[in-house]
Amino acid sequence: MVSNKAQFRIQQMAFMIVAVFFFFILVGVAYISYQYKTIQQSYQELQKEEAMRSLQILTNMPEIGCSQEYMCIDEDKIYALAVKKGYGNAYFWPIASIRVYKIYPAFENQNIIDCPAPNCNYYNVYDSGQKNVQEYATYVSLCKKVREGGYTFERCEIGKLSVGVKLNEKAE
Amino acid sequence: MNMDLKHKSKKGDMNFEVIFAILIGGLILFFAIYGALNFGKTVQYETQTEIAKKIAVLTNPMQAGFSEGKTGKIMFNSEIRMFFSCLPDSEDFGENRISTAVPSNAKGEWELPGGEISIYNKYIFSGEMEEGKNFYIFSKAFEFPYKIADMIFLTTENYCFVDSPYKISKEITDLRIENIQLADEITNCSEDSIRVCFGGKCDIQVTGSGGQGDPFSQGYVEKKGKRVFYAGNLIYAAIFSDPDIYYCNVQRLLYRGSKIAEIYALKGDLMNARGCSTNLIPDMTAFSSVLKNTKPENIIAIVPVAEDLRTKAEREECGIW
Repeated sequence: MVSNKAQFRIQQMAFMIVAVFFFFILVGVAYISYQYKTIQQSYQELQKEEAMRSLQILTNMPEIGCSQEYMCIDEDKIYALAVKKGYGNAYFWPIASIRVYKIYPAFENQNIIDCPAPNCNYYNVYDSGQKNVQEYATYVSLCKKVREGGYTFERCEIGKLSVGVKLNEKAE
Repeated sequence: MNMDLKHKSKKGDMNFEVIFAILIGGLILFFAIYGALNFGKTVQYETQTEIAKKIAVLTNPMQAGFSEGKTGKIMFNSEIRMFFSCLPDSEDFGENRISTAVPSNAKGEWELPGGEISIYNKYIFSGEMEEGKNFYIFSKAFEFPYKIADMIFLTTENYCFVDSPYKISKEITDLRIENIQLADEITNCSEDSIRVCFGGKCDIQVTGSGGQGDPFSQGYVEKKGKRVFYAGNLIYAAIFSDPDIYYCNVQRLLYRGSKIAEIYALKGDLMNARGCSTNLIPDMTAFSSVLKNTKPENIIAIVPVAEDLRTKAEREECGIW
């Protein structure tokens, strides 16, 4: 009788310990998943902040920007980058994609024509190939040097610089 | 007699239960403490890694752009250690790496650094390890002869520039760099500062080998028994940076310069096609390969090539840059 009671007590305690153990495991898993989500969110916030700043930084980069103008893109340089695919790598550009659209003066044909091509209006400067991308854009001057009537000057059009933020790709 | 036996048996049961409870309780307590310690370490690692990433983002506005330079300061509530390293890559842009460590409150020692954050398109010149609450940052463009990138200088110590040339004194005064003092004589420097002399004997010595007009436009910097060669704005990098980090970043800058020269060569073709002609295409192509093949220690040797390119570009009506 005494031995049965003791066994029952030990069993009860063992069950209690297992229950407490599983409870803490569950709490731990919940906390880790919450923490993982928070880290992912803060990573994406930082990436977003970086992309927003990149709009300005990109126009200052010697690979893209004009020499002396603020928020200006050298059309010849982006033409060269569009031709010379693969400049830099996924790490060199802190963003997922760089696209430049000519938006004014508007083209008769409103379709997007990929440069290099005659009368093109769209430059795909860099594309990491990532599908899950959020784009941010700003208006910029799109300039190139020309020589007409014995004068050399910068001919500028209005362009839109669009950069994509890398979002975490879901495993397929 | 029977009563006695029963009592003994009951006593034995109690003992076993207590022993069992103590064992299991001790085990749970051990795992709880071990888990808490490990968890604390993970949180610490995460925080430190996040700080490193934030520093990488915070340095974004420090790109000089069209201005002569930019100044900034990163402040922390407590002391922090930043570790910097640089990985060159002869076939790629290379990278800078940052990691941080915070003090451990319990032991008064430093935690191990968190995860390293890689930066591929910035050039951070600093010591291998910088420690403090305030981190002073300023940036300058590196032009050779066209703009290649913005260099970021990060320091925590106070510096005293003794008898610096007018150009450098003016730049430092204009940028209002808090931790750099300008002095005519070494005796006017504050006690805790690192003395930087332009010509004399100091903690850091700068020796110019440029022309009479601007003797410090190129030369070398001697620091901790090591000599590093500089040209142009690299003088600041040579003063503030660890020699290994300096040469690694210079190599990265030269590689990027060579890639930009390739873009300029293509741009030249486009300009020629529309009548805004340039004769610099062969020069740009040649300069690209010169930059790619030059070792950072030999940077002074290619200064005349860059100067020649600058002169040619300035003569052109449709400037290529």
